[in-house]
Amino acid sequence: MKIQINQAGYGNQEPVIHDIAFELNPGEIVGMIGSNGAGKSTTVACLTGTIPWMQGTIDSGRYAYIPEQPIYYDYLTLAEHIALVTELTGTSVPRRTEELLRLFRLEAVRHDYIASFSKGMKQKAMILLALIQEADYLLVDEPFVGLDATTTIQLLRLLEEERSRGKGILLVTHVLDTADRLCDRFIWIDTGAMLASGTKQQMRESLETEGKTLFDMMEDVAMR
Amino acid sequence: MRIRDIWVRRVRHHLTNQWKTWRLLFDWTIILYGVIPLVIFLVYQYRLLWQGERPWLEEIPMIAWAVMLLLLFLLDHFFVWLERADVTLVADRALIGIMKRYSVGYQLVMSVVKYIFVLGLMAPVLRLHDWSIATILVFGFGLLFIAWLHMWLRYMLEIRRSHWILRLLLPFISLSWIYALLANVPLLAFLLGSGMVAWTLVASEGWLSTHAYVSREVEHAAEVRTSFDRSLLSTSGILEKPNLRKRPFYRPAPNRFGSVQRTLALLLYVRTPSHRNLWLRLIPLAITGILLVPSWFKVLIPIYIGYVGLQERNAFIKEMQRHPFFRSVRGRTD
Repeated sequence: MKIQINQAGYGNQEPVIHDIAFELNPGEIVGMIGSNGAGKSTTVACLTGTIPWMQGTIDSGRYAYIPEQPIYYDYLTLAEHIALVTELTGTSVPRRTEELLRLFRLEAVRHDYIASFSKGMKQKAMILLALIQEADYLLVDEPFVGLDATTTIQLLRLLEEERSRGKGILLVTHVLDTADRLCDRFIWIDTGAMLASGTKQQMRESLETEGKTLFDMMEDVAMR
Repeated sequence: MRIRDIWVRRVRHHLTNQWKTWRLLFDWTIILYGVIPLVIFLVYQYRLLWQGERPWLEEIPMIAWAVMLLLLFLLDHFFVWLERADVTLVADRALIGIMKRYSVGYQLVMSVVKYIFVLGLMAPVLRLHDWSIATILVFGFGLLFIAWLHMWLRYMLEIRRSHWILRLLLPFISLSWIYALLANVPLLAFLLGSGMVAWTLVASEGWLSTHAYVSREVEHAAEVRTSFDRSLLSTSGILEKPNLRKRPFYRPAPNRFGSVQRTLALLLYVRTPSHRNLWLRLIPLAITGILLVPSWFKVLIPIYIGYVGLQERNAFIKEMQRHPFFRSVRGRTD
């Protein structure tokens, strides 16, 4: 997946983000980090093609998207969502689906409307719908919001598992300690542009913050 | 679960909501006392129109009819039945393409139904102008065709945010086209019509295959689909009018429940059968009374109606003060 965004925005042709370029390769987890309102979700909107205007090129393979806020059909049950997604993507992985349903404890509610689920259950349903698509890349936007500790650990394990299966994962988050533990590379977005990118060591060198954790680096940059 | 199933559910869900909204506003007493008499009256008038007993209609110039039809065009909306979930759940854009094709088909069917109805209403007027049935039918097809092109073009212009001159030019061309048809100038009608066809082809180039403006299309569709319920519910007083601004120009007053409380009370009054039925009986009685009662005794009737109104107002205010809903609102906002 190759991304080159020259400019992009929502209305009146005012750019919200600019000059963002990176690659996402199979078998790696890339963490997109940055403070609130830095432009992380806008960058993901460019990848998913939901931004009103953009100048640049996106070369994306088959991807599945887990949005920050769960988005689903009000009038379909979870089982119907699964049936629709498998029909559209042409993937039939009933065993995997059953495993994930069991893992996320959604077996009992599979014939309920997702609208009736709690926030965490909705988030889990979205993760399930993305994972059963068997896509080459996963775009995961703030996945830990609203999840309990057990599910968060399960999700982390699942993401590592997907990486070992050769999938490229873009993890958008501001939970820095989790990103620090999980990601191979980072893209740091600040005020709509790329501040730094690369491995943690490369970022330390480019930002002159030797020996510091991601959290300390962010604090250091904010104080400058 | 096929894409067609999900589309059918979406349309059915929307139509059910619309039906529920209408039923919320019109219960059986309003239908019995208001809607049915009005329908009978209109059908009778329409019959008289066919019999040529409304010759003054002939005096209305064709340009006025053309303007009325143009207004009807402008009221219409073209949108695709896309939802946010179509874009986010599956990255495969085939779903969006298929949804767009279904939407075009749906829009076309709705346009045909609507313009058959309009043609049915206009037919007696055209007959007054000595148009043959064949000419009226040809006019109907032309009307449907141009209305549809106009809708599609308007949609393209709205989504692609074209220049305002283009947006003005389009209604102007449509108006000229309808007037040329009504005033029997076939060459001009042909030229303008074929121009619009060409323009539509250019404007909608690749629309079904590329989805560059998909987020705008989703937003536009959501706005159009909710506009029916919103406009109906907000004008009826059930809902407060939605604030479309991102933030208010000035700080709102701390207690904004006053106007809502008033509109809700009025609505509650109208929807209470005992209160509503009193007026549904009293108003026809008063009109009949004013027509039948001789000389200055007529004045007594509005005075009596005013007295009843005052009594009703006082009684209802006391009733509302005891009402649990308004008690709870006051408790929260005091």
